[in-house]
Amino acid sequence: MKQMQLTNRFKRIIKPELIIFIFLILSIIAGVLLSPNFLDASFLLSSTTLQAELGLIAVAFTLLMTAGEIDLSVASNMTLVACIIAVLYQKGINMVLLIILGLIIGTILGFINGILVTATKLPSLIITIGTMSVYKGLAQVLVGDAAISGFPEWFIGIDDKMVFKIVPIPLVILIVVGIITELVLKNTFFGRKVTAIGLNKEAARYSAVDVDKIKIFLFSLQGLFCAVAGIMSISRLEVAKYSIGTGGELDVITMVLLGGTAFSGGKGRTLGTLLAFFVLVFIRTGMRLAIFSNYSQIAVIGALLIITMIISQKIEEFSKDLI
Amino acid sequence: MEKTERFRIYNFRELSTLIMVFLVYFIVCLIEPRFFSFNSIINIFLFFPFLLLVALGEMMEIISRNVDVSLGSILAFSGYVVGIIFRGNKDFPLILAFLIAILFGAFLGLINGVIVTKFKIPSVIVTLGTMNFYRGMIFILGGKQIDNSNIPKDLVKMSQPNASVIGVPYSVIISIVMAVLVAVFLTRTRKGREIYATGCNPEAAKLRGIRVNMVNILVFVLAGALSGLAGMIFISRIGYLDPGVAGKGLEFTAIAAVVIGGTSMSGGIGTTLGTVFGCLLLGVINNAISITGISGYWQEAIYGIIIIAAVIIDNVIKRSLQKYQGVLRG
Repeated sequence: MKQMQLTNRFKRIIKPELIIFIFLILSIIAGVLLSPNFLDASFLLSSTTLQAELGLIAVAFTLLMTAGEIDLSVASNMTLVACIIAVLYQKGINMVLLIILGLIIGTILGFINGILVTATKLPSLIITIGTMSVYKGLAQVLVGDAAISGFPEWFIGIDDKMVFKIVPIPLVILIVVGIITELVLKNTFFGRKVTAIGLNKEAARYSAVDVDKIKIFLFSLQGLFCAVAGIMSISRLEVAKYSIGTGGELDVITMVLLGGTAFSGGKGRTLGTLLAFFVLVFIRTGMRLAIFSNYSQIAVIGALLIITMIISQKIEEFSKDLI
Repeated sequence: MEKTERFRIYNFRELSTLIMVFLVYFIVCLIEPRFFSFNSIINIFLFFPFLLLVALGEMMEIISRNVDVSLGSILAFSGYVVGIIFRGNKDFPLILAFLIAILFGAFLGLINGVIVTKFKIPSVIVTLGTMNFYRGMIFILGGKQIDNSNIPKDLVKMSQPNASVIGVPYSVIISIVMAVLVAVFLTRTRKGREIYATGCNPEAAKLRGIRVNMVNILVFVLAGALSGLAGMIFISRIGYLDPGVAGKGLEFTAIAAVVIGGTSMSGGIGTTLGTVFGCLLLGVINNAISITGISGYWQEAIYGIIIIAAVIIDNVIKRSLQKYQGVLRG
């Protein structure tokens, strides 16, 4: 009897959320082992800017996945917005106007995804594979192989601007947005609706939740976040190319799933996504310090994605028969 | 009654793809008469051998309700492994090289399949992980480009029209033979029908005594093996292998071809003939883009639009079919 209570208590401690903390510690240890220069706070903080855009996309992605949908076009959306802004800036349009226009375009691109998914009732996976190619292709058509630069002085270098002289602005934006999203998801009527859709779409519909409208809203929100990410990335890189978002989906989806959000929907953890963002930053920074190529980094992240899924699946099974 | 109606509609689906192929071909011929030549037809057929091989694997996976985005990486990895062997010994027997590429691809597919079925993780997530893992592994194992000088002449010849059976290059023949084999396997063998049953309704298939997990693993292994073979054809056609770009995005092109060919993304429906026509359509479009002088940058955008259009058309057909059946019944 007592032993059973103990195992139950043990099971209650071992939760899917726990793995993110374990991974966080492991990634720091790995970083330290890879390079002695790893534990430099200001260096680590400034490396977060390399991933902050994808982290921002991952925050909105968490909401989308909580509602049981997936969007593979995020990185292409971000690239297309960046390229449109760059091309129009070359034509001599005011940058402030372009930023607003970029946000609108990104939202529209997300809106198109949402409309296509809800109108055809097809899996969002296949629809967004299509729009991924379209958006990426249009970005290529717009800029070709060129790298467009020469943005105004005030616009570039968002990653060099610090709060309290040490925390870069992209990181601040990410954390603030992440916490707001977490509060919305956990504490508002809207957040409850999103979770309900992910848990059981039909039940949500019978409970007078306008499933389609919320889904379209979430896709549009995802588009808006992609646009912000696109603007941030050209500010950081100081150039716009059609390849700036290549492979971004992997990092985004890894962050969301590693953070403890369920792939099938119904369980979203934005704070988990934020923590997973740091795991990815630590891994990539550690490997970069030890001069591993970008391809070796994506090999590790690809493996990490699969290991995460396996572990969370096992833990789910383990804690299911909790009395 | 229902069955024959359904059958007829989906035959119509393949036919419509073929009509699209001819329509696009003749429209392009009207715009650019140079397109109307034996040479351009050969070019269209040369475009598709490795795409068709990957698409055949992708089709089997989609029929069984899986999606695989790692096939392009498997192509590159298998090609790279064979390339390393050729770099060490240029006189390595060609047959053995083909065998190694196929087996290695099958092994990579097996990894995918085991993870998907054993841990019950959605195939998209698993293959998104392995897509990057395999591609990264090439670079961890060295990652130098396989140069033209390392590749045996006999292999390169396989994709050239002048050394071939009545003007048809060997690579095209290999891919067509594989398509026929896949078609026979899917329609005439027990395991093939089990793939359809699994995709139609996994639960019902399980109750029928079909070992669904084995079917899923088999499908991943076959897709991997076909992609391994595609890796060889890729080297033969392109003449070198740059591990960073070889086969990148090919899985999405393959998905486009499969979906255009009438395979349903919700599983259980799809034919080899449709996939062949889908590849042909992409081949015609690809060659049309280059010959009419449209910028090559349009290619990806056009593929994307085709995917979306094909999926929506398929959906409309399916819905009107359901309505029609409702009329028949009621």
